[in-house]
Amino acid sequence: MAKEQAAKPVKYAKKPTQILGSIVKWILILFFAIYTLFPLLWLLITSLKTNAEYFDNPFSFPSVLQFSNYMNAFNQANLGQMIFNSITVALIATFANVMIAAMAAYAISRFKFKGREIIFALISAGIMIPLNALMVPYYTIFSKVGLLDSLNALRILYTAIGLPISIFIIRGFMDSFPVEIEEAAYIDGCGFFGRFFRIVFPLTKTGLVTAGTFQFITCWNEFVYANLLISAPETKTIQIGIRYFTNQFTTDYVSMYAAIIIAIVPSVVGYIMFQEKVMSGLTSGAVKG
Amino acid sequence: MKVRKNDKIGIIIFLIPALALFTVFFIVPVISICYMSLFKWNGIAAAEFTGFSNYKNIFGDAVFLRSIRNNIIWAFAACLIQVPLALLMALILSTKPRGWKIFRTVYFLPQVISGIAIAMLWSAVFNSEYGILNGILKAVGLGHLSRNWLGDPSTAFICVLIYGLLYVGYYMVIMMAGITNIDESYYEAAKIDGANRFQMDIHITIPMIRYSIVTCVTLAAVFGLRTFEQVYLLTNGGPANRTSVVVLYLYNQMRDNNYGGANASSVMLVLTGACVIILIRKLLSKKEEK
Amino acid sequence: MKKKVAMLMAMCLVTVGMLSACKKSENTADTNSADKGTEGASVSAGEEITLKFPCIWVGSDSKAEVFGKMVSDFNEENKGEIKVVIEDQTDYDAYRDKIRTQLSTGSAPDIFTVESYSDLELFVQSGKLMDMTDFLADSKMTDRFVEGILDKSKVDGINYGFAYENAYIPIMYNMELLEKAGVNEVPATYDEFFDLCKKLKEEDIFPVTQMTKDNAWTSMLWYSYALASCGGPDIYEKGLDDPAFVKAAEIIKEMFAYTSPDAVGADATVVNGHFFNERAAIYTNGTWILGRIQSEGAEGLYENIQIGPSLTSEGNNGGGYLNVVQAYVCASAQEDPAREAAIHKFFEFITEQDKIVELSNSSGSTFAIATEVDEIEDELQAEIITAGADAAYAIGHFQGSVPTSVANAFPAALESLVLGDTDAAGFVDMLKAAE
Repeated sequence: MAKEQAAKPVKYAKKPTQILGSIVKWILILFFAIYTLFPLLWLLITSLKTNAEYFDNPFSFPSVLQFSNYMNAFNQANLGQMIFNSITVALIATFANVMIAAMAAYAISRFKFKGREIIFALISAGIMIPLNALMVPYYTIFSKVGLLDSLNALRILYTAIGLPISIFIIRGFMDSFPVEIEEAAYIDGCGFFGRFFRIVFPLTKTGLVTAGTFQFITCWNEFVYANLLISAPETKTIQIGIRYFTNQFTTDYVSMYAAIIIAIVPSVVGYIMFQEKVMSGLTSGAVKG
Repeated sequence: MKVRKNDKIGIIIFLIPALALFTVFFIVPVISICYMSLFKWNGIAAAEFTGFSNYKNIFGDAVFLRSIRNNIIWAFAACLIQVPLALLMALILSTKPRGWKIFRTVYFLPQVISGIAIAMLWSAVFNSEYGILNGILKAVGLGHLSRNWLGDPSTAFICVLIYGLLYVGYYMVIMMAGITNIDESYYEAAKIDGANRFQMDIHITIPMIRYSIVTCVTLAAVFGLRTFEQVYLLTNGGPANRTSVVVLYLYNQMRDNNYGGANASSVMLVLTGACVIILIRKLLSKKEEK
Repeated sequence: MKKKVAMLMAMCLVTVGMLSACKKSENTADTNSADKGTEGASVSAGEEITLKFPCIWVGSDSKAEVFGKMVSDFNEENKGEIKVVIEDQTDYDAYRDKIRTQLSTGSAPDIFTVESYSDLELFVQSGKLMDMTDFLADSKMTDRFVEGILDKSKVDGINYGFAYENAYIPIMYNMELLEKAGVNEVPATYDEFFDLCKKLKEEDIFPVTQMTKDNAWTSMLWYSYALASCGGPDIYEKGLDDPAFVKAAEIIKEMFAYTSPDAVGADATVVNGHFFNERAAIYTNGTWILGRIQSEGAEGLYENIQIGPSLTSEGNNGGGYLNVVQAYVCASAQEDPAREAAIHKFFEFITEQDKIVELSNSSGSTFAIATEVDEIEDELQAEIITAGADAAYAIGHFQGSVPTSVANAFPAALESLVLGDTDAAGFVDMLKAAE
């Protein structure tokens, strides 16, 4: 909604409406930035307090910075191992999920075959399913295959449960590309798989990255099944580590917040690096009118 | 695109992994749940067939009805407030103001922060004794407005909604991704014609990312119907079940060892969601009839 | 460029895959041996028996350190023969879900704990729990326990588990704040109690602490005390139709008029915050909280605490204490007698008196195994145990004495009552409807 200053060698004087627009724009940007950063800031400050200070006033500043909370969190909960487990599970599940979803989305988006809409409707309905209710079926499945207590159970499960959303998102992106480009490739003798891997796949990279990001976060934040399907200490994931500090009557909040901050770091770093690499190089469109 | 002969094999191969996983992890369990929703089961002892009485029970439960109402409100609010806000921010950030990359990361951050932490924070903010909200109200002289936000039935749900809906990063990122795909040449042509930013947004950007918008609206509606963690962590459905949502209701049924009720609620949820998704698709694709 | 990135990613994934495969083979080895265990395959002499124990006393739980040490001492003593493997469970609800899911799909962990009697009754229905009646009837075991508690742990006359953690929950008064209000003695009747509350309110002190979030723990305890006073020690046997439930509801409703404004929707953090920082004067919780009062509470708070029992209502039922089994220890039925013997041995180990004393002193929890009070180091804890043992009567709390669904309905019903949606009779109706 803002008026943009064109980058031209001759500077035009700013109209009053342009300045107003600019102010409104920046108010919005800053408002959301503060709103969003506020939790993170609060977490950081609180994780450096003692529990007593926290109970007294959750919004006070620590009198002495308790860096020991971080040491505690890391050692007590064995966070290093858990972070590694979460990373392997999330990466593998994300990669598999995006590949499988992209393949299915391509078939659904590009080809009008019988039953296409029914299959898509079914898959979309899958987004609605409340995973909490499926504990008994899922536990039975993995118990029968003997994969209980193995991180592979989580990898397979996360790949599967993320499919509806990923297919939905990726199909949305694929739909926005006209089919002419593939028609051209077909005439040029490009086969089915060639068209997919060499043309569509690179084109929809943004869609894939978007779906992949959400999938990664879902895997990273998942707790219910990580706890249900896994027992051995070496296979615990980060979400379980965070709850290490909770208890029926007492919770070591400050250590828990320290653990949460430690858990955020890899995801944020990964997100920043990945987004930079992939998103920045995508300004050139591929379909010219 | 027409299905050509050698495409058929490709289509099948591409669909198999997804369909296989989907069948195992969705179709089979859901059928099992539909079946089990006709039984009374406490999770351990033998199940007892009771026909549709589980459905009768949940529809006779005021808490379930209230949960459905809350979910519908949430879904609407998400579509009508959260998605437009996200669109607005996506449009703003696409003009690449100074530091836009940083802001894009910042807006996305809440998704990565554990829900527990955010809920704890907002619990503290809304607290009537030491909460910031009341603190700010008192400081600006509006102290008479301060109250126990999450414990007061008239304000609890709105507070939960606000807390859940102002995080727009998720949808913003989807739409920004869509925007980056738009060819620069459209904008250049429009600029030559003398269009300003606002007109370009309305006539170029928004139409060209309609698929992203439809995706976001559908996801917003669905997540609104599927809400659980935010409500569970902030109010646990209180006060007096005023902020209850269907998945929380289901969760409590399981805690009460009433798997029959839980399964019946799941079935209702999936049916409702499926209808909503189909509805949205029909509504929004009609609009694009060229 | 694209190819390089793809190659790099592929290599990363392969490495990660290999690493996790290595870890997996480690796990599979463990899982295999453990699986053999749970399936009850017979173990030849000389082979180590592994017992899996998903355990809630880990992490930041106050019992974690000493209990963990107990288990490793046991493993040391029985090296090569028995090994108890603790699996960390940090979330109570998730733990309960896990046990329940396992039981519904036909298996059970070798050793586990159960939070409440109604859960115990539920789990027994699976038929997978070990019958311990004979093991516990042996005088070696029976004599260790507090009198009568093993009988109370029975379901249908059979011991499928034994009470382990047994809590005493008194009422606690901050005498310094009481003196500010001009009261020097702990009240004995509800009339005196509410009189005290009025005086405290005048001094801008929150008289009592109440909460309605989660399981409404402290308010549930207050309700339990009110129930005990109005209905007597055997009130739970009389069922929800007894008028005492309605009367107690009226008492708790009045209490909410004397608490902090954030009580509705408050959780344990808020309540503890108020009492620990001397904003509220009267509190109730079990002995495990004493350690935290000392470490996180305001200066001098611990020394100012005086405990009190239930108050009399219309001259009746004063002097009782809440006494609740917090954890039952259970095991899965074993086909192999060697495994069953191993489990019995572990149970004998963890119920030895000196170990219990150590556990009690380090955590502030109290147990179903009888110990000498003079071995308890914490003054207040010892005082509470003595008072509880000498009390006019002991009674369980509401949550543990009614069916699970009724206990789960309590917080919402309480909120309705306090917010004026319903009256005391309606409150009890809501509880009855959950049955």
